[in-house]
Amino acid sequence: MRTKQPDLGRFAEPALLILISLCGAQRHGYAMMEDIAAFSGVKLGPGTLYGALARLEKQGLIIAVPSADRRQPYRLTDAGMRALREQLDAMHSVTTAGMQRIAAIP
Amino acid sequence: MNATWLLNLYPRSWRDRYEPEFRALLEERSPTAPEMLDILLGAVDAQLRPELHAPEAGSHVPPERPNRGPGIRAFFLAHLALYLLVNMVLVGINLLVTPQTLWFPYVVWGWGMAVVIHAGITYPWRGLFGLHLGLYAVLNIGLIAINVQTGYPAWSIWPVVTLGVLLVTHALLAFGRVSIFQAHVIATIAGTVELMVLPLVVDVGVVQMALVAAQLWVLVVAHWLIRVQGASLFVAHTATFAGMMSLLVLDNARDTSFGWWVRFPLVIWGVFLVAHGISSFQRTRLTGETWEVRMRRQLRARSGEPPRQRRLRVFRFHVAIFALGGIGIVLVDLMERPGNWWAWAPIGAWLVLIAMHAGWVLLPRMAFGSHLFAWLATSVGLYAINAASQGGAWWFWPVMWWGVVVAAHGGLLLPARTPFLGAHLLGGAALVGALVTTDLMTGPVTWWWYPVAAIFFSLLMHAGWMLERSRSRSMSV
Repeated sequence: MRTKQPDLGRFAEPALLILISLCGAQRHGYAMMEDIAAFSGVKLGPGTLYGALARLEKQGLIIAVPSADRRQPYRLTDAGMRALREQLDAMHSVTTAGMQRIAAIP
Repeated sequence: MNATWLLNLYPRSWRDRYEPEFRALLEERSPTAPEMLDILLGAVDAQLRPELHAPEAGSHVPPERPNRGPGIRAFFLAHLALYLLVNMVLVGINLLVTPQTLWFPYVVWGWGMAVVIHAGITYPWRGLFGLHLGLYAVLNIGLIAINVQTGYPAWSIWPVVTLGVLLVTHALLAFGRVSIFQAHVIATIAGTVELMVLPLVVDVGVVQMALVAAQLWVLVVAHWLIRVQGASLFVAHTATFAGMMSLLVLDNARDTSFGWWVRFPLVIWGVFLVAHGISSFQRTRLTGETWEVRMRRQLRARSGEPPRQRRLRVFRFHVAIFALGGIGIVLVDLMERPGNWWAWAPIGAWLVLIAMHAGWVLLPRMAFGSHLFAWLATSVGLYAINAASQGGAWWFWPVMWWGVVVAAHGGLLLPARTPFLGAHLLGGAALVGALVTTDLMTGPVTWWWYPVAAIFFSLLMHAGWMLERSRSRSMSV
């Protein structure tokens, strides 16, 4: 069953990019910015990054990993992994439908 | 570009949680101008969404009051329904009978403030902040309307700004942004700006306003001594005395046309200060501790005092503040524009609040007590205003019709098998009495007014009750 996605407003897209960035790796803020820019070409500003991080952390989708460094790493929680999978599935079906319609144009 | 200073724009709770890592991020790479704008927008977002970052850390958020129960809510909804419908009828009467004299806005306004106070108590939001916000809005809308109607220069901007400063300060406290001391500083900064703008638009001296602003800052220093430095009350009192007196001497020296009036506050306050000093250092025979230490110990012990005793203590404190504030208002009135007695308005309004507070504290039924005392005090005030001004005796009308509502409220306290039956009976009797009085004083009232008014009143009282009862039932399913 699909879980209800929280309304993240203008932080929805940055939040998705963060979830992808943290999938399979722990990253701190600066590393996330670099990673996101590398795989998507989107340059997240620090304010947007931390606005989205605070929301994701509050919803239990990511969690801060204990660290002695000031640069705080984060990782996905199980709920975060599920949310990411569901969002990507939804996007995939939208993309497939769109591509099929394009292909149907004579 | 160094952007770490922008962190100061984020709320304290956000900084407690994220500041070290955010700083580390900014140190990795110097942000560009668009990124600085992004940080700025992030600060606005963090300010608007405090729940996202541990609001309990260092918070001064007052606890939400417990649900007051369906009876209290039913009473408010009945009040609201009564307000809306009665005012609709009054508007109709006013426009049909005396369209040349529009009196209904005053009823809508005055009663509206009571409804807002009632709403703020019934549905508390961040303690009493919701009440404060509503009262601010309704009060100022009325004042602006009066200002526009009378066409005098725009005096209504001043209550909007001055009370707005207090409202914003309350908001900062209610939403846990700042400590009490920080709120005091912010309010004083805003007050200082206002006092400095005042000479640009009205006929007051810059120096005089600067002296008033400096007095506000003396109070901040006293607060700082107590809260931050942990100084004793006597030390703070002495500092306040020294600061205030220096400023008053300067003020007096600027204009000695009224003589050296500063000697009066100097001597009177000086006597109090000496008395405070003696009581602070003199150990009492019984307990062997100073007055101040004893007072602080008693304050600590008061956490378990009975509610009625606490209410009485708060009321006594309110009266003391009123006495001091009233003297201050009269002094400012005297010094600023002798002969233009504007001081009666704030003092009169404050007296009504004192009366409401007294009714709340002294009578066993607190809500009715404050309503009754508010009615009595306002009636005396309206009579006095009417007596002091030209024109016919109009004071009787608002007093009588408000009296009908007070009677209905009193009826709620009567023992009755059906809820609101007492209100129907007593309020209905008062209503008929008021109609007969109107009949006698203004000439014959059309006969059908009596049954229509009685049925209307009865329906109103019941509508609010039924509305709330159905709501509480649907919630309990």
